[in-house]
Amino acid sequence: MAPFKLSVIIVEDHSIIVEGLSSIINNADELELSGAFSTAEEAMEFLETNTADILLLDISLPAMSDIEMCRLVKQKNKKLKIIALTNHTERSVINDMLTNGADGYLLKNTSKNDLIESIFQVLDNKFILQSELQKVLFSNTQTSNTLPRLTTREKEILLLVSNGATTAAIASQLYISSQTVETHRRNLMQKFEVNNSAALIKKAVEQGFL
Amino acid sequence: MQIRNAHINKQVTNWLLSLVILITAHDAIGQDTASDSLLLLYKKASGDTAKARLLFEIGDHLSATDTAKAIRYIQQGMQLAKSNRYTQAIGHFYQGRLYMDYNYDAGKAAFKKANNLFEKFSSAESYLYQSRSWSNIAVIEQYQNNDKEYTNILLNKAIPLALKSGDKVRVAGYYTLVGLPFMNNRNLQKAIYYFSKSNDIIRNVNPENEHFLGNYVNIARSYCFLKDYNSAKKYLDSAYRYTQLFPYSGYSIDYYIVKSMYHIDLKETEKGINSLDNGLKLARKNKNPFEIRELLYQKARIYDEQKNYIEAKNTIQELLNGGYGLVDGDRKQLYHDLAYLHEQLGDTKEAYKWLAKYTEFADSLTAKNNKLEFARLEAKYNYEKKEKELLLVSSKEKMQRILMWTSFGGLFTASLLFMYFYRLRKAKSEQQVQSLKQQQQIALTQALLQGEEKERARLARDLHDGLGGMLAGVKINLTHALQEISTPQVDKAISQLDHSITELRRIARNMMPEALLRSGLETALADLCQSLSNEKLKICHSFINTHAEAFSKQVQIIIFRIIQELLTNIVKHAEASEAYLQCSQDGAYFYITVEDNGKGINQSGYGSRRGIGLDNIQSRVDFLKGKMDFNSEPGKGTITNIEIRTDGTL
Repeated sequence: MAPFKLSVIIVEDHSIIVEGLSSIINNADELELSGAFSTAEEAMEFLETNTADILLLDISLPAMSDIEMCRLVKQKNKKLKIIALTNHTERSVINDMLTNGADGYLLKNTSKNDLIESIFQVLDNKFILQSELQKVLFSNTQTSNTLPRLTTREKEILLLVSNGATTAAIASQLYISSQTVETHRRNLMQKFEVNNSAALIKKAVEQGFL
Repeated sequence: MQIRNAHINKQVTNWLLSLVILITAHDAIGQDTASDSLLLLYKKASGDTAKARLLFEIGDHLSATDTAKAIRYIQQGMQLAKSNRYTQAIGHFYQGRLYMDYNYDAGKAAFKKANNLFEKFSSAESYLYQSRSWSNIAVIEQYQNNDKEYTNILLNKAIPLALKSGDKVRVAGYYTLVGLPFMNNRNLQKAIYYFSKSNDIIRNVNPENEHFLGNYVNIARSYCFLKDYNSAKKYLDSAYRYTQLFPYSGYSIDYYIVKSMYHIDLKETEKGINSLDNGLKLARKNKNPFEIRELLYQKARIYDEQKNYIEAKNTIQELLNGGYGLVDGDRKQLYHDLAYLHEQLGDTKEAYKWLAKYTEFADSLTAKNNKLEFARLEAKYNYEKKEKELLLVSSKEKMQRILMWTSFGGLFTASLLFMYFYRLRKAKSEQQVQSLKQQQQIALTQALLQGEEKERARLARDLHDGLGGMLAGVKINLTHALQEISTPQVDKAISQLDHSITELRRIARNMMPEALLRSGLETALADLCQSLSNEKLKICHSFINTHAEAFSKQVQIIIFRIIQELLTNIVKHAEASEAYLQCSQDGAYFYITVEDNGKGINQSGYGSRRGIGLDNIQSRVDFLKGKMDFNSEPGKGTITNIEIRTDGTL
């Protein structure tokens, strides 16, 4: 019916998933499965001589690092849209993939409709994350407060420093080593973005810590 | 003859000098008329102090002529001065002046008593009295032939105090006094220096002062001794002017004595006799027996020189019989001289008589002197002997004590050292055993941990990729197959399958986080915080200067596990709304802080309720040779501080 179909290739080492994916793709009118490979190298070889529109890429393949693969493929086939298809929900993994050339990110337990829709979105240069992943990426991000966050110990040390206590005195009072006190002091200065104790106290007072 | 002459010469000048000192020290004026007018003043005076002072002065004036009367007056004055310490001090001073000529010790004591009282008063007059007391003490010292002390007291006590009082004339007088013993001992340059100094001082105060006369005469005498007759002449000429100004001064007579000495030395005998006659005229006018005596002796010496033995003999006889206050030494000399003169005259009988007298007198005198000398030497010897014995005894005792203490000290140090080394060795061997045990423990833990993590990693991968993949595939296939016949039961089953997959992912991730292996500790921890956060609990994190990528995978995994356990505890038990993870690093030290605002736990019960989770943390911290500080109070959250050393063999 359709004279032109979008070509899809899969890199995936689980046969069950390949089976599931291929049936979904083949049942879609506008899509056509051009190849399924169990390793990244095979897919790269295929792409040397053929072209494809969509690559469904599994993460945590054996051999070649998936991130590396993603980058290489994207480098060589600028038009090829890559959708990462994985079981990983860690934010760092998602970020890694998206910054290394992946155009989309899907979990393997995605529904058929989501998959098809995602493919077209990606082709349209749009992408909507699954709600589960959205939660991971955007919820509970670190609020970038203007005020530095201090631990209880740091607050204690800040107070003692402001009272003029020496490192040795602080160490003996808090039952910690002088080395530890020095580290805390340095961390405090880093947090307040200052270079010395006097400036530290001044800034801490300004920001209401003392 | 020459030798004897020199001998006589010295004798003469010696007693002449002490005479001069007496006159200067006593600063005597004419006698009776002065005391009479003072008595008149005394009768008119009002007030005890003024009366007492006048009584003292009357006593002082009488001291030369009537000692008993003088004592009475001064004691009367002391009675009046009872209530006034200052006046008392003056009284003691005059008492000292009264005593000093015949009772040296009493004199000295009185002056010292006076000075003790004067020291509390800082007026010019008080200083003057103190200065005078000291100069009188110095004179007493000189009486006792202690020239050194005499000079010392004058220079260091009397002169400074006189300067303080502002009485320059007195300072000048004292310098003259300092010069006298130097002249006496033929230290002539020094003597001339002090006399000149005296003149320099007086010149600024009063160029017409009597002191010039004395100083010029003494300088001239010194130059005579030095045989520098040109200089002697110069000073004699300078002195002459003053003899006209002060004809009644003792120094005027002295002038003639020195002048005759000068002429005799230059063999101008007639001029010498002339000078002596002038001196004698003046001395007789002044009724001064000492000076007459001196002048007569000089005259006899000149006659001897002229071989005019008769005149010489007559002069000596006049000396002996004239009642001029001769002392034993003089008498001895005169006997000897008479024997000599009679011999020269050929009168051997007379000569023998005088010689026998001389020998007898000399023997008794020598015996007296010898006795005194023996007593003195004996006392000195005894004293030195005793001192030596004492020194010997005390040094022996000291030696013994030193020996005893040194041996005690040595023994003590040795035992301390022994104990120290024994303990050191014991501690060292104990430490070795301990460290061996520790090493074994570490090796065991390491093996266990490594095995555990390896197994976990394998399991996690199998679960995630194997079972997880299969379940995912099942789900894809199922949704595909069932897409036409969507019923609520089917949807529910698919959703359950979804949850199963999610749960499986969670388990696998907990077992071995993918990010830890792929991207390192910080990323894994960030993921962990994020994945453990939910609507109720917000977990923030910060990493300061951390370089965990430098650690071995194993250390990273252990640190991850520690934090994972801590955060899991918070999620499960703390009921906190906020938790905070901070990691920081300083060289080899890695610091972990985990805090929450949850319900906290009671630390007293903490030991018994301490779960497997905490034990796991502790064993991992121990494995990394770290320290853990766990701080929690009910209602106040929990704070965990962990410090790990990451260098070494891990």
